[in-house]
Amino acid sequence: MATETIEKQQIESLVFAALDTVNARLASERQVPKRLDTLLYGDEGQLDSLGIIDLIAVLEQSVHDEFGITVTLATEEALSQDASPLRSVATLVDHLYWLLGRQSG
Amino acid sequence: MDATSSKAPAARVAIIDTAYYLPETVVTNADLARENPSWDIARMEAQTGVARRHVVGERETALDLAVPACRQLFSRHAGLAEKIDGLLFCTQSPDHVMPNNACILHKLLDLGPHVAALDYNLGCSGYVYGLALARGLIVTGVAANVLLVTSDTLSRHIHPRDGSMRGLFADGAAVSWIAAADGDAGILDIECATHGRDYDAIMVPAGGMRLARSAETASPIVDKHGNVRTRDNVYMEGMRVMAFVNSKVAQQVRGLLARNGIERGAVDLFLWHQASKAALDSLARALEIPGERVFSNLRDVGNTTGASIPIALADALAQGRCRPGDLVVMSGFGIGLSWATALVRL
Repeated sequence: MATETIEKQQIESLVFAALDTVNARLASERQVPKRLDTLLYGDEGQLDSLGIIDLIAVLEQSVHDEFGITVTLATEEALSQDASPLRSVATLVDHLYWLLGRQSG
Repeated sequence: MDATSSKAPAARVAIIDTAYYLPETVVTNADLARENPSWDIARMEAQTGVARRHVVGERETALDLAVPACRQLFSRHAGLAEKIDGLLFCTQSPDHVMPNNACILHKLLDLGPHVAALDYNLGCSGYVYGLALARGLIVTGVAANVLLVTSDTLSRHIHPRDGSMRGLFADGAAVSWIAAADGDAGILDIECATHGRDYDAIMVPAGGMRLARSAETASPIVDKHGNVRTRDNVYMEGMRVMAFVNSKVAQQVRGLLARNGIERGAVDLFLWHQASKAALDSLARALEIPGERVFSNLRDVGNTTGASIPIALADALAQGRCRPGDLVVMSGFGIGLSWATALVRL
């Protein structure tokens, strides 16, 4: 699987599935909307530090299970960018797509 | 195992034995849920991996925890107290601004006068840093038998309404007897590192000389997620710390193994600082280490900061997860930010 082309749609599905897992552990009033424009991390983000770490952990494991590829989403490189790739669902999908493309290609 | 009592400089230094003590009071996740009905306990447990933690009573200190740990160690080794000539005490929760805990522990254990005793202030990297310090004392002939105490009471620094911290941290004390190695056992290599630019990623802002505690520093700050703390409490920026762990710690472990010509597969057990389940899982993924070669006692012990590695070592030995002769990697990382990794033959 690791050498096949990974479609962006597959990654979007993985991120939404990870959000399902995270939401299952959250109270109803703190559910994170499964939309690309949902802000995740930062001043306007829906998730606190425990929440974003939970999402990342679930997602990293899902990527490994699905594609057999190890990715690390929370890195100093990622956090030091002017626009953090973790700030929204859309940027997270883009970042993961880029990471997987780099590692599988 | 036994150790030599000669004060002649030793070529190799080993962890001879380790004991620990946890305070009697236990707080379970069910207790936290009853006390804080709005907290997402399921998420807290999934992310931290902690189900219960031991915490000190109102008047109990890190020094109080260290005493029974040391007495337990002495009870296993007749005459050890008389041989001790080095005492290192790692804590962020000393009894007094001055003097240090090591001097008071020296009195409480009724040790002799020829003991080099000092405190050092580190958190989760403190045990491996302590191994480096103890090794330095022994290989230079300053001491022959060192007590390395790591004891902390982080619960005393956490606001009771801070759900981001309270589910993770616990209190505890550990003590290791460090002495000249006998046979193949010993500390093979250690690397310590610091990234002071992120000193404020984990911090208690008030209470030192820079910012004294006051009514102002004790006023509550509520974040948008409902966590409460004051500037007298510990604060941790979780994502910055996670990024640091994934970037710096994994790199250090790879580097230390490479310079010793050791493949990851040759390591019998990885004894990480018990930071959180998410952090340990992430490290294992980053380093591609199978789960059976990573030890965790987070569920029942929690994150005891500087004491977590020696407590994990003692538990792993007791459970048969590692045994004398095994090659283990110990890595501690946290406040400072600082991190340190040791390659040890048990």
